[in-house]
Amino acid sequence: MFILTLLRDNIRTHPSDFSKPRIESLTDELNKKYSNKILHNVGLCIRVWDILEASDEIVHMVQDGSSQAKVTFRMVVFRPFKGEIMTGKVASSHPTEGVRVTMDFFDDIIIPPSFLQAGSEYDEEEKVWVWKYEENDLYMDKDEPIRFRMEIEEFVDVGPVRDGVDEEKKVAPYSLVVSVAEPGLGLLSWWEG
Amino acid sequence: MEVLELRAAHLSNFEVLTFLSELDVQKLEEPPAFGGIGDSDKSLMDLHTIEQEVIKYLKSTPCVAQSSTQVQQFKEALQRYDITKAEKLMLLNIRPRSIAELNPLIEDIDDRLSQDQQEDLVGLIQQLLPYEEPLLDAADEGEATPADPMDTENATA
Repeated sequence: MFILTLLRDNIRTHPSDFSKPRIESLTDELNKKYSNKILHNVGLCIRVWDILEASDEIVHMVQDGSSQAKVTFRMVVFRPFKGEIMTGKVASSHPTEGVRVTMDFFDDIIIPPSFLQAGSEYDEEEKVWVWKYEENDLYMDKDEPIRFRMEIEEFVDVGPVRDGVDEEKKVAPYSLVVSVAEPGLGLLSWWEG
Repeated sequence: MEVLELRAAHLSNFEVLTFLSELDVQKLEEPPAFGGIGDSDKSLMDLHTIEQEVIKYLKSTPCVAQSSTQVQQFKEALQRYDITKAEKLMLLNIRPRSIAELNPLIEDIDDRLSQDQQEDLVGLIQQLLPYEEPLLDAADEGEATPADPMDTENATA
């Protein structure tokens, strides 16, 4: 689910950071810019893995005296591949949207009703989805560990935005539609032993 | 900003947990040379948040009990099976406990692996990647303590 993405960017270092070792200040600037943010069509950036190359600095004498360098680096990115199996926890149930799943660091994961196990129904009283299997009622309760398959990923270009902040923005810049509709998937407790 | 190569490499959960945990330790051992410069600290909060959340997530998965020796042995043992690189990665990250859990991880599993091979594979996983699930039963809260995954690390044959 994690990949290394090779990127190149121009990084400015403010004079107040000139005393830091160069690799450290470049890494810090890159992390400030990318950590915990969604890069459109790339994924959720975690942090810098390493810096491969940094060009000679250009100093902007007439502005704030900061220096600029072209940096080639690798970033640890969360970007599951299609078909990948992952685990998370049930976050919430919604009658028409389906079941929302969380992975602590990433929340925009949804199992639509069509991707639940066959025979699943929404229980109006408990407000939870239930898998009715061979006379058993298997409730998909909140916080239950769940295993799912990545089916569809969606990137929406919403401009620079932080993952998790800006709650008013309804559209998630990166979201996953996942499935539990096969043997071995769904709540871990269903397949124990 | 240019994307030179989207998938330059795939990382296992074990590699990511190791990487982030080592950085955590480094930060504790080398306090910042100039004591927290206010602005720097605030803008590195996103980094701190995502690191802690990823570490928290990964610690609740089987990779928390893995070591590089185990991972190496596991990869070598898998060579004799008809399994792709992506599938090996999932086996490592998910660590299926039974044939039922193995099923979704390998495409067309019954065409590629016999029942015996599937059982062997599950047995191999149990043996080479020992892991005890943290107990999550709410009824046991305050009573049972979760099994310590690190204790099993040296128990492999």
